[in-house]
Amino acid sequence: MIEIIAIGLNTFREAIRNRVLYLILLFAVLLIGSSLFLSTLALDAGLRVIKNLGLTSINVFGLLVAMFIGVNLIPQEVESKTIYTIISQGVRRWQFVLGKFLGLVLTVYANMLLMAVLLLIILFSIMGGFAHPIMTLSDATFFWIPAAIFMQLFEMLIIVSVAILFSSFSTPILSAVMTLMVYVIGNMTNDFWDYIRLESEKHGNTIFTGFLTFIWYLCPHLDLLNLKKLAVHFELLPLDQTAFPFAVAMFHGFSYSAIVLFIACLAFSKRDF
Amino acid sequence: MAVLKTENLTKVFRRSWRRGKFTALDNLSIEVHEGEIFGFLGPNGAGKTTTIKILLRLLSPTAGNAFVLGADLQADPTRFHVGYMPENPYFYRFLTGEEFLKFYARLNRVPSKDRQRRIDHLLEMVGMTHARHVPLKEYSKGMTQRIGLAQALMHDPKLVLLDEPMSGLDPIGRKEIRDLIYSMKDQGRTIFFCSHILSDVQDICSRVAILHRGKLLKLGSLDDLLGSEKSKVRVQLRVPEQGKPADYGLSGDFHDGVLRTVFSNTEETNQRLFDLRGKGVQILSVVPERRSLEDLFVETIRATDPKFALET
Repeated sequence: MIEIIAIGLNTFREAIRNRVLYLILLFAVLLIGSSLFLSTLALDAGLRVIKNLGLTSINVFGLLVAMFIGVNLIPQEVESKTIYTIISQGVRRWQFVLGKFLGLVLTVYANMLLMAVLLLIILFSIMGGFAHPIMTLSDATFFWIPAAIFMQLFEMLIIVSVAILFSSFSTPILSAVMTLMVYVIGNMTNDFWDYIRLESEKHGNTIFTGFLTFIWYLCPHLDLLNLKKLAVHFELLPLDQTAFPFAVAMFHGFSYSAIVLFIACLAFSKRDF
Repeated sequence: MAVLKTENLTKVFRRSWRRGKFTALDNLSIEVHEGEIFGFLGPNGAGKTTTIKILLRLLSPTAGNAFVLGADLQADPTRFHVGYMPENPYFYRFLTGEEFLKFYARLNRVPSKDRQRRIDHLLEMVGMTHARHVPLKEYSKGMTQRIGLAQALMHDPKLVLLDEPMSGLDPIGRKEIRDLIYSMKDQGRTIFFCSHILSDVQDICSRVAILHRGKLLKLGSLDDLLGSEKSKVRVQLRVPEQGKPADYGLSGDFHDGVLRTVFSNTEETNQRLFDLRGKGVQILSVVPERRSLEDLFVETIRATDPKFALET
């Protein structure tokens, strides 16, 4: 465990001194900050745009950090031969992979936290505190926005583990593309399922629909973890859609990333350098 | 006692189906004794890096075994501890020298109360105390090598693998690293020294192995391999006035009373010089003409593979 923490903290320390990170963060802050200008819109619509933009930014920029920094983590260590020195000192390969995962999670979370604080400050200042006159009982902004961000943390857990998995055996560019694909497909699993159902109704259960179903099961169900619609349009949604399966979604986030990490450790321990 | 031992170590890489297999290491059997500096030589593609990677458990051998301090590498990897400094390392750019060593101290579970003392000691040993707060990206090549040596010694290993530790260094840098290697030896460590710079190997190693195309061609002490006892000796003598070399049973290049000649071995040199001094011949210089490691290396490689063009 000490080895994992040491590698994790080292990865985090290295990452937060990387200029790429600051560039990504700068863009994110600018984007969230620019939403302030939207507060001049009709207040209700303006608020929704700010929430939407803020949550999307936190999510997308979290993904960018995971992609740009994450996919390079392991190949970089191999290229610079630092992994040789680490392994030579008795560290097991699975400890190295888990350490890198921990470091990347810390980096992504630190960024998301910064963006989240910024978004909440903006919302707080626009709404004039917790008790804005137009805030209805159902529009519990300061519950649903943090809740949405909290669920995004689980989403990023999956994305980071996927980035680490690909970087444990593939090139950085390929890893970035694959991670992006998993993110996109994972966020469309509901639509994907609808499409599979439609295909099955039209043509029956074919090999094609079987294959698609297999992919559907294989992909992370990131839209399970997506609370954005609830957080932004809470008051507009029918009551039955507001019962969100928190526990199931959190369990999915944990278990999916654990399985992916297990495969990453396995792949990395078999790898020849 | 053998600190490092390999028994028929073999590594075969599978390439594409068209190009077949490639044997990078072919039945390598060597022993490195406690406290020695062992030179591991070979041209590019000889199998040096493959051997080091197997010893570091970054590659698994196709056949054979490797033992460090008696422990089988494959069977019991957790007990395996060795210091390693890679060739041309690029350590964590954004860390300072001290942070870098702290990381390795944590990895090696150095207790927090001893950590700073250990880091200070290593920084002082490699002469990097002044640069402890400087980021590694600002280090020169020599500084990087020195901090690399410090990390290799963090867990106080008995065996240290050095892969081309002097490559790309200026003469001062090379001397500093050479001195550090000597001091590691004085501390009782065994050094496995992998290098292309044969003069450095000749200076500091007691035994060497020469590898070519995965096969071990030579293994032994430098004295045995270079034949120190049987090497020729180049001598300059001043013959007494009006004398000729032939009067003393000598032949060679003779000008202005000075004779330059070569005796065939150390024994003959001792005997002849003793006799000649008694006859009034003045000895100006005696230089043993020892075969250099480079000569041996080139001869060995060419004898096996005449078409081979040296890449070193």
